[in-house]
Amino acid sequence: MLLEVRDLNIEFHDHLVPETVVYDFDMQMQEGDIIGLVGESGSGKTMTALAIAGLLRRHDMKKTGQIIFDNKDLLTCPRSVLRTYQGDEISMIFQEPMTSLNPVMKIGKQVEESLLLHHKMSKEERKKRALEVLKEVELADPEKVYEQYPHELSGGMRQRVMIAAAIVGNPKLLIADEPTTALDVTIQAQIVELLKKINRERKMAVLFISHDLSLVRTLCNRVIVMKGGYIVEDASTEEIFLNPKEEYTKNLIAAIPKCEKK
Amino acid sequence: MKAILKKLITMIITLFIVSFLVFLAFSVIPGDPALSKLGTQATPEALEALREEMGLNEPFFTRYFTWIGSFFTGDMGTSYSYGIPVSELIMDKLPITLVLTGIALVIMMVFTVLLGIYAARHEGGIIDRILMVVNQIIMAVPAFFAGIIICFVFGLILKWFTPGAFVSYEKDFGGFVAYLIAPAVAIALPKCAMASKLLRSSLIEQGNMDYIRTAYSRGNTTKGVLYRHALRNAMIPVVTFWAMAYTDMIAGSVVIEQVFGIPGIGRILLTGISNRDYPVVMAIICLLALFIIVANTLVDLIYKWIDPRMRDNG
Repeated sequence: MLLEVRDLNIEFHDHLVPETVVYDFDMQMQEGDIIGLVGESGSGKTMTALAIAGLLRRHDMKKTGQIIFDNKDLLTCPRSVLRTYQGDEISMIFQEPMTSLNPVMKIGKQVEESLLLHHKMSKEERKKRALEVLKEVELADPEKVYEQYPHELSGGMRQRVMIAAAIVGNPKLLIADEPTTALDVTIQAQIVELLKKINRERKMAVLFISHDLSLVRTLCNRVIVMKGGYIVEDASTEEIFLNPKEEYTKNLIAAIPKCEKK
Repeated sequence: MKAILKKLITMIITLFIVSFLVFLAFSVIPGDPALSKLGTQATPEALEALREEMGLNEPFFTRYFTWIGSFFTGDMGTSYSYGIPVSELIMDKLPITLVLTGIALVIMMVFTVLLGIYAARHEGGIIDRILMVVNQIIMAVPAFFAGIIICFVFGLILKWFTPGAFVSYEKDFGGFVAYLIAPAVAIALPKCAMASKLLRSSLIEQGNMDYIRTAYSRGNTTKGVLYRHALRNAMIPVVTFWAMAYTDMIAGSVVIEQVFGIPGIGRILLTGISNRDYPVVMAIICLLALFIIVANTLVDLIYKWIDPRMRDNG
């Protein structure tokens, strides 16, 4: 078992009345799994992802349950332990490639940052690895991109850079939070293909968060559907699409444009 | 290279405009240098003769071009009241003002960064709140008043330095610098308060950016995120402010030199104005303008170094 989430509850205390955004979330992931987490805006899918990545560390919230990765509970372990996993074993890419990269730092430095933080490596080795992953994410002319700044790249290229930076340390789990939402349709398909390739070649587990069921269908082998903080349905992709049990899932599938259902 | 050339040309044009406006201003305002030199008892004949000698009877543009022409060859004319070449007069006083504002600039930069980072890291904490209140008070106090307070507290009560006991830099450079620290603090204080407040809010704002979350997701510590990622981004508005503050400090040094009895550029500027010593005044104003233009050009370069997005557009 790579990742096991048990009874995860996330509750915010930043208003007068505490607000729970995720209720009793359970999931399991094996190595090399590629799971889709779908739901509408506000269904709690991003919060769940951030919690697994250890990025929900605000003081005005309460998290209960367990997030077991590599036999460690990431929810309760000290921050210093959590950091040894972040970027090295668990990586994350985000929805907004335009703002998720540091605007004043060269691409190369950002791609190799995880190596700098987690591995004793010489500068040359880091650069070599960075160039390798930049090539792996199918960026033309990695040498040039290495020396460029984020504003010189398009959205699709930036998302590829984000992916490169996420996989440079060869993590076991990649969390992709709506990585294609901000991109146009042709680029979306390319990014999904790229994630598929990485999953296949590196045996890297991918947790793919999206509201777009058609993308999830082409990519994932299992789908978890969320609504209002609850898991509505959790089944293999075929089952979800051929034989949805819940009314909500049926509605979501019905919302996919017709031409894609053929 | 092309950008530098462009900058240079802009600089020269700006200087020309400034010099023309200054010359125009002193031609228009009332007051007669010949009269102030000879006194009100002078005979009309003597006055007329002196005016002729000073070239005051020439048409405006002839006078302007004679002046600007010799200005660029390094001859800034002769001071009416001191009787020595203006360039000599200024070169003697310039190092004082330069060192004074230089020290103030360093003090401002160091404390901005230290206080700004500290306050941002401990946002909402007791020290942050105290700092913000103190900042608010300091910001409201003009430099000359801060100067008076510093003179009184550190000079007269604590006796850390003797107000008015200025040491010439030719005699004792160490003592000269030591004396300038108190006035430099007075000039730097209000700017420092504003700049550290700006850096604090800028850092806090950067803290909510997406790329900061990315940095955390790679396993960065809070310190790593701050120094490797947030600080450089947060410095962009601060550097702009520093440039404005430095310009302001040069202008403000005129006043603070009076408070601390420092015989810098400010003093000869003030006596020059009251004596209608136009060559001195015009030369100083043009020099200050040159200073400010050079400082701004430098800031533009620093700006481009910090923010790569600024590099492509000229």
